[in-house]
Amino acid sequence: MFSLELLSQKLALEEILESNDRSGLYGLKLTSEDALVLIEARNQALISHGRIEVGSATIGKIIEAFLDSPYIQQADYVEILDDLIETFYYMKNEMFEVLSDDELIELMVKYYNGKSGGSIELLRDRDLDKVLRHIHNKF
Amino acid sequence: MTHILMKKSNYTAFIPNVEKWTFSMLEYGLQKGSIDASQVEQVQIDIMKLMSDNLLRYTKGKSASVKTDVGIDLYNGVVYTIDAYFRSFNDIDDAFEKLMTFNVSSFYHEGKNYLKKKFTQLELSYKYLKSMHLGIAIDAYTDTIYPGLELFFKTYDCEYMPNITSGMIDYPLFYDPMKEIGLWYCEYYIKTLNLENDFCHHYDEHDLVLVVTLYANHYDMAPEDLINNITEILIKQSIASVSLGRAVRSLRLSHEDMLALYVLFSTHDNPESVFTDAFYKTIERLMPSEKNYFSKGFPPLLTQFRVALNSGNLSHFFTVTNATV
Repeated sequence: MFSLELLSQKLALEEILESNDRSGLYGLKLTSEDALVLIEARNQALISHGRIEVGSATIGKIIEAFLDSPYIQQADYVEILDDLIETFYYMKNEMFEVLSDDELIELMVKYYNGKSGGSIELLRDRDLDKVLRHIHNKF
Repeated sequence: MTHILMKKSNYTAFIPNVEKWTFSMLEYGLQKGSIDASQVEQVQIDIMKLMSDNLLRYTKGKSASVKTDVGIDLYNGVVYTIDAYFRSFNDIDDAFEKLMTFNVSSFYHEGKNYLKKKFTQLELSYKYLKSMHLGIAIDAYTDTIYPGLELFFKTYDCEYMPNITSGMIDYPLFYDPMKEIGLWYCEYYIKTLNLENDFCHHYDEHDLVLVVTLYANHYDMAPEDLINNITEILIKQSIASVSLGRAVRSLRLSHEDMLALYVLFSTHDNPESVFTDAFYKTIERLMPSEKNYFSKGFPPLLTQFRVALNSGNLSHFFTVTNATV
């Protein structure tokens, strides 16, 4: 009778479209269809990594954090956000919740805009992986 | 002419679903047409918002996502708390009237206050349990009362997951439908165990220990390893005594008594009626106020008796103590 997923999606859509007020200043904008793609990407990432989230707090934070990235243009905005979302949830699980959401996003921004040079592959498989191995060694 | 004003209820036919109290009220309201689908949806959205707030507080603001099983428990925790609020109403019309204000946040906070109040009351019941438990060394019994329930009171999470039944409860009750969870289950368990202890206190403690020890020995077990319900063992002995025309508190049965019981039951036209009469006489004499409770646990006892009688194994059902009183 009541679908948890359906109502979570409704909340998420509203929150993502609100971010256009700020991203528009950087020439970046998401349509409702784009927002649904990102929500679906978020949902798939949550399912595959065994996590649950209400609303789009994380998508909103990722959008905000990467607004002024020199490596993101309107043409590939949705695709890059999709990859960043997947990377975020993958790392969240792998890092045993050691880093808070904000700390992980800050790290992702730092590497993506820096050493990774706008490459998702280098971000995930080299730069963040180094941090991951350090955390695993500690535990 | 005398006019009597009676409150007309629109909800007399409503039977709440214990496992989803508020949702069953919403479903009933939908069927009756007093609530519409958009109002129900808004309630669900408000519950999700409460869960979202709790999730952030649960992670101390560090994370907006949690493992799926934690998330489900947080969601169920919000629903359980709101259910607690509506369970607190004595009058169903008042409950529905409140429901139709759709102030979910208020329901949640009132529910939390109610759970905290019930928790405090339950601590008193637990204190009584610790002071009045039976002096019997059965590990399942003593470990449940001491470390088991102690753990419940130390770890019960009224804030985020009141639906989780923490603690270790190994000792079985005479009747346990196991429909409740969380605080409601522990409330049922502690209050029922107190009731059963009060029942067992009607017997001589020395005889009680003897019967339980011999019962365990019969199954080649040390008494401390028993996981049977003590009340049930004693009720069986009382049924035997009453059937033999003895006092209900008499727990002793000799081999000759066992033979007499076998003859009595196997030659009677309706042995189950003899058994049933003896059961209810036992309850009437020892604890008539709790007849309703004991009646609920009677059917499986009757089945055990039927199987034992038909297989010629009454000595497995009643316990021989060797001395005739």
